[in-house]
This record gives sequence, C-alpha cells and structure tokens, in this order.
Amino acid sequence: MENKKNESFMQLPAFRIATLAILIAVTALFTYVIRIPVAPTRGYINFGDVAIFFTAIIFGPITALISGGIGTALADLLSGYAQWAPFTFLAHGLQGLGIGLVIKAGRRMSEKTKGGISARADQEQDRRGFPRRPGVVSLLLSFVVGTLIMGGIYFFTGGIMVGFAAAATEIPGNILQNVAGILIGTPLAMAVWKAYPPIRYYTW
Amino acid sequence: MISGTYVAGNSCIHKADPRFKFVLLLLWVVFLILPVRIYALAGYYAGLVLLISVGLSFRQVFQPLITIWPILLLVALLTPPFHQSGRVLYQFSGLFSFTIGGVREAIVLILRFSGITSAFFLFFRTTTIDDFILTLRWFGLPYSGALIITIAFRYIPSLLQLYRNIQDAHALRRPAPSGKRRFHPIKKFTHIFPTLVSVMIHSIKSIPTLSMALESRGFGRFNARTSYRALLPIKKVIHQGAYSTIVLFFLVLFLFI
Repeated sequence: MENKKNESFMQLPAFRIATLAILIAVTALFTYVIRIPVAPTRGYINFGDVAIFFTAIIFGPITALISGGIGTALADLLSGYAQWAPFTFLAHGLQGLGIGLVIKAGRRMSEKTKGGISARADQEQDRRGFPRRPGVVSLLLSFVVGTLIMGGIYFFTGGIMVGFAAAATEIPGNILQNVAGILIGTPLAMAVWKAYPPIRYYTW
Repeated sequence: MISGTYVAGNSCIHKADPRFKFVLLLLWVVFLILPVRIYALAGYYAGLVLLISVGLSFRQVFQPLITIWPILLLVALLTPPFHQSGRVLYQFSGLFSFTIGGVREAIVLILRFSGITSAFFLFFRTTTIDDFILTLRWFGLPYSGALIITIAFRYIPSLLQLYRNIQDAHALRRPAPSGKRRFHPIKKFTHIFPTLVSVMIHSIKSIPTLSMALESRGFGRFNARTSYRALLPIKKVIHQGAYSTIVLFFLVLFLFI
C-alpha cells in the first residue's frame, strides 16, 4: 500500500524538480570536490563521470542529460574554468544521454529475450537487490558511446580554442575519466539500489 | 561557494546591467573565435585587459592566465611543429622546425584562449550568480529551470559538508596509518567507495523532503510565479544599451584592421 502511494509521487512536478536539483548538486560535488590523484606528483581524475553513470543507470537518459550537463557546468563555473562551462554542458550532457539510451536499449532487449519469466523469478531478482542491473555488453557499449561523445566534443571544441595538437593531449585523460566512471559508477548504482530500496520509486 | 567567483566592487562594470554584459560576453567570444588577423585578436585581448583593469585591478589581469598556463605552454610547444609555413626560424636535428607560420599560429591560439578565459573571468567576477540566473530567465530560461539551478547551488555546500562528515566518520573506523604513508591509488578508491555510497543515499533521501517543501510553498500551481528579486525594466537601463553598442562598434572595427 505504501509503495503504491510512492509510485504516483514521482509524477509530481515538485518531485521531479527536487530530484533534478539534488542530482545536479551531487554531480557538481563529485566533479568539483572529489578528486583522486593518479600520480604521486600531479594529475588527478574527478568523479563527475561516476555521478553521470550512476544517474544514467538509475534514473535514465533524460535525467542524466540534465544533471550531467548542468552539474558539471556548474562545477566548471565554481572552480574558475567558466570558459569551458558551455562545452562541458554539451559534452557531459550528451554523454549522459548516450549512456542512458544504450543502457535503456540493453534492458529492453534483455526483457524481450527473457520473454515469459515467472513472477517468482522477478521477485527473487528484486530481493537480491538490483533488478535493473544492466548487462555487461550494454555497459561496455555505453562506455564506448560515452567516451566517444565526451572525448569527441572536448577534442573538437578544444581544437577550436587551443589547436588540435594541444587538444589531443587531453584524450587519454578523458578515457581514464570514463574508465573510472564505469568502474565506480556501476557498483555505486548497485550498492545504492541494494542499500536504499525506496529508490526504485524515485525513477520515472 | 554559493557566490561563485564574484568579487564585490563598485566599478562601472559591476554596476552594468548583467543582460548587456552577458550579450557582450557572448559577442566577444564569437569575435575571438572568428578567423581574424592577429592584430585584431591582440586588440580584443587588449580591450579585455583594459576592462579588467577598470573593473577589478591591473593585477587581476594575470589571474585567469595563472589557471590556464599549462595549456598555454602546451599550445606554445605543440602548435609550431604542425604548421610549417613561412621562413624557418629554428630546426631541431632535422626532425621538425619552428617557422614564422607556426609561431604566428601559436600566438593566435594563445591570444584566443587567453581572451576567452579573461572574458568569462571578468563576467563572473563582476556578476553575482543570482543576477546571472535572472539574466538567463530574462532570455527565456523557464521558471522551473532557474529554480532547479538555484536549489542545486543552495545544496552544493550542504552536500560538501555532508561528504566531509561521512569521510571523517569512515576514516575513524580505519586503523591509523603506521610508518611512512605511501601513495596508493587503488587503496584511495577502496577507501572512498563506502563514502560515496553514504553520500549518495543521504542525498537521495533528501528528495522527498525537498519536494514536500516545494509543494507546501505552492509549487505546481498554475498561476504566474513571483520573484523576490528582479532586474530593472529594460527602459531604465536603455543608456547601457547605447554603451554596449559603442563597444560592439569597436569589436566590429577591429575585424577590418
């Protein structure tokens, strides 16, 4: 009975506004604050892509487009790199959309191939914690799509601003960023789904 | 963090209407990206130096350059070998050479990127985030879009505090490091993961509370929303439009230099 109530809750505009605002703030925090050094002297990766993968897996492509784009652009704005904010909005927003679309398509395909799975098996899967777990193939494909979109947009816009030779030096960093995104974002989504079951009623 | 990079001041650029500043910022960036001559680019950058000196201080001119110097260094080193036109200035053991054309291209890219960075720097140093969001609303951003961004800005410091609290709590549960601390990226990742899960769950748990707060303030009704703060009517700042047109005239003039 309680869950039925919650299911209609997600359709309210106030709920959607609140969800997007919180996810944007989380994405900005992950990009701006949470950074892990990858070498003893210099160089780090931020966790913006972790938040984007998380949002795309749990909340879907449109939410990932909005929260990924605005969240990372806000982080650029706050950290004094406002000149990159419009390109970041485009790159990470479309990256989130691409990842979300691939994962959504993967889920639909697996549902089709699953065919008449029994209700009990569905409940069992639900009890184990992550019924929306994306398949390995769709995850790998989403990683490729996300990297191509994000890296491509940064390479192209960077090429216009600083030349393609200097822009090419950013490519390994962007790939590493996406590797961290998929390696941490996917287990994070699964862990949150398992630890906080009401989240399944927060998606639309 | 909520105030962004704004620095309070009383200069004419601080007082200028954010709508005109925003349009000029976009136009300035477009002019910097256009394939103009090197003198025109130098003129656009000199104009920005002048505005930063007037609006902030001359020392602030170097502030945006400090943040981008690694990229500028890369541009200076990597651009000339890929542009081999013109007279050869220096040759590195027959591998590649620095030519007049390569150096010119590097200067163009450096001026362009420094100019774009300085333009954004000046705008956000002299415009508050509130005014920026109101400007976006004036240019057609829907009310709900502006509300989402405003709430996100409000939540970033709270989430930062939450993240630090959870990080401290998790750190207390680990044994104290003994001996010399070594750099270990994998360990860093394994330490940070439980913190991320906790932060994410706490953040998502606050969604129903926030949506109930929005509901109780009347969000979702169909009547027009009011705003606590608003920009001045455009009629009252029309003189600033004239000033902006003069600046625009100079930007176009530089195209023909």
